[in-house]
This record gives sequence, C-alpha cells and structure tokens, in this order.
Amino acid sequence: MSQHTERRQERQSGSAPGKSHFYRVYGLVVDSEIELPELVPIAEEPAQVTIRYGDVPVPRPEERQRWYFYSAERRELIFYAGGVAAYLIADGSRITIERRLGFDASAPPPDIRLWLLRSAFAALLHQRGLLPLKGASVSTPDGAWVFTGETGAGTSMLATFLHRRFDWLLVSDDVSVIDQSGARPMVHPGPRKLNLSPDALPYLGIGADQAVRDLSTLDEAQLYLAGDDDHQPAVFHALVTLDSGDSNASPGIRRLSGLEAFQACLGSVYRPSMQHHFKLPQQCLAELAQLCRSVAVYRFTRPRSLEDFERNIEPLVGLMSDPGRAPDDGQLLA
Amino acid sequence: MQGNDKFHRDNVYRRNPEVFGATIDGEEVIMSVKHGQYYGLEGVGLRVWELIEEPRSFEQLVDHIQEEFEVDLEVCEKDLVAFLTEMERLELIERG
Repeated sequence: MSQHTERRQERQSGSAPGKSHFYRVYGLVVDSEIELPELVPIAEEPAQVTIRYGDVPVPRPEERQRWYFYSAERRELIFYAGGVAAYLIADGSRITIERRLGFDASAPPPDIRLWLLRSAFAALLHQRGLLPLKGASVSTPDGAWVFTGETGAGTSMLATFLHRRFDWLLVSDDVSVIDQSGARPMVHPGPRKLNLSPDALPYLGIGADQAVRDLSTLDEAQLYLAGDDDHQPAVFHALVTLDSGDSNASPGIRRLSGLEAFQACLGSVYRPSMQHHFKLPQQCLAELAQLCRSVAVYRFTRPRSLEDFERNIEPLVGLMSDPGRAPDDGQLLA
Repeated sequence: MQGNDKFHRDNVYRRNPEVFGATIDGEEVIMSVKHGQYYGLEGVGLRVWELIEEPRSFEQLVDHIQEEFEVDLEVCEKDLVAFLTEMERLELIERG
C-alpha cells in the first residue's frame, strides 16, 4: 500500500468487521462487509464482487481538484466522495472503502451506500465491460423499457407510476445496466430502492413518512421497495429519452434512427468519463452502435408539469401496451 | 473550382485512420477520436465515405458519383468540393 496512505483504525460500518453479506445486483453476486439493505439478499455463493473496508491511497494535492483519479498502470479508479468516504475500485471485482480522518465521521451508512451503489458501481461495471445507462427501467411482457433524460426529467417518477399502475416490474432506478454479451441485450435488476422528487410523492400516493433522505445535499426522497425477490434480467426492448417541454407542449413520441438514435444512446451512458478509461473509443462506438441496432430508440416529449401527468403520458403508455403501434422512423405518435 | 486555394483536381483523399464508423439504420455514424465528436453520413456523403475507404482521386470520385447518382457534372463537382473541404476541415479525411 502507498506510503501516502493514512490509516483510520475506526470502522464505522454498522456491521461486524469481516462478516460477509451476500447479494445479487446487476446480475452480479456481491460479497459485502457492509450490510446493503438496498440489494436483494441471497444465500452464500461464489462472488464476482467483494466490498470491504480498507486502505485507499490518499490523493496528492494536485489530484484533489478532481473528484476522481484513475491509475492506468493499475487499472484502478479512486474517488473521494466529499465528506463521506474514499472508494477504490479495481479489476471490476473489488471495491475498498475508507473513512479516513478528514471525512465526516458522522456521515451515516446510507450516505456511504449511496456513493457505493452509484459511482463506485458505475466504475466497476465499466471495468467489467457492462454498459450502465442513467435511467429507470420497467419490464413489460414485451421486454424492458429504459427511461433516460437530464436530471429532473422525471424518469423515476414515470417508472414508479407505470410500476404501480400497470404492475410492470420495476427493473431498476437511477442506473439500468445492460449486458450485450448474449444474443440479445439484457437489462439487469438494480437496487430495490427509488429516488423520487418530494413533489412526486403525493401524486404517487406515497406518504412522506415512507421515504427517507440519505444526503442532505440531495433533494430526493429515497424509498425502499418491498420484497426480496431475486428477479431475472429482462430483454432490453426500448430506450426512451424524456424530453420535457413547457406546459403547453403537446405530448408525443417519435422513433429515432441513425445518428439521432446513436446520440440518444450516447447521452444515456452513466459516468461516460469513467467508461473511456476502460474501453477504447472504437469499442465505445461499437458498443453503442450494437445497442442502437438491437433496441428501439424513442424521444418522448410532454409538459414538464405534473398537472395532467396521466393524460400526458398516454402516447407512451399506448405504445408500451401495444408495441404494434410503433411509429415509423421519424413519425410522431401523439 | 474557385475560391478554395487548398483544393486541386488531382488531390487524392482517404479516410483519417483515427476516425471510426458504424452503420445504424442505413446511416453511417462516424467518430473523430481527436475531437470527440460524432457525425452522421447518408446518401451521397455516405457513398463518398465508402469510396474513400481506399485512396481515391477527386476525378475518380466525380466519375463514381456522377454515374451512380446521374447528377450534372458541374453540380457534382461543386457539391463534392464542398463536402470534401468540410470533411477535411473536420479532420475526418486526409489527402493521400
């Protein structure tokens, strides 16, 4: 370990040191020293990913301006979640977490898990050659639909609504992980937790007392899903980019093709700067082109307001209920 | 053929080897590694891109395009100059 490394003796995991907890997430078996209530627990089996508390090299002063540091020599990625912890991700299989002096010792375990399940896992997934897309996904009888968009576009709200209204399985929130190693691209189930805007809770019939806030800096309500079902991956059917218009915008969905479809896929990659560390540019291009050729890509525009939300998503719901209604390339389905 | 001092009829063009492409829905999406940008080519532009997989002279390109697309020679040359000049400016192609 680096001579720059300081050690912090105190463990603050809320778990017994050395005890393993086994989970499945994104199609991977995880052996974790930290309890992860967001994941589906499973019986002990050989793990592809281990999570442990340990030593993480301290950033040099010149590196502290960057939120993460990548070592090409070691194929490791380290990032420092301000005030929470440092994370070292190596070989697509190991995550080491350190809460050294200088970090806020009072930061609660949920905050550590938040960074772990988002950015640390994003790096690990890129290392493994999987493709994490930013967005929520639900599974219909025809396959999984992934909703992506800018922050605040309402992907979680939409996926949660569809899940509750139509009983379509919520495959993942925040990040949907794609595996293209087989004949068809698959979406792997993610953590059993939702991140919703507090404004969305009343509309969804969810009491504020059911939600928790993990990070004071995030204006999100975290909601744990009931059930410990070990869901299977779903065939990836369609990617939908949510494009919020003003309150007068007419709702409509349009199928994209060619460069437009490619750019929609490109824009949906989660932590793309991390991806570039582990794949050559031509590999990134080939990976996204393969995805574009395998799934339908749509742009769905509707008013940003929650007012008339259900009426405004009718074009999308109609298409999801009956994919035979799919518009031709470039045609608008209103 | 006026107004562009870089252009000569005997120029030979080829793809920049650091540009990569993939076909999606009949459209060629090409990526400039140097600039981190993506571009889409279809129709005549895509055909020119296909032709310059091997180095081709301007005259050869004109012959191919004029024959395949039945376009007037003057229009063909004018459009081809504009296209090649822009592709060269974006460093997607280079002269051989």
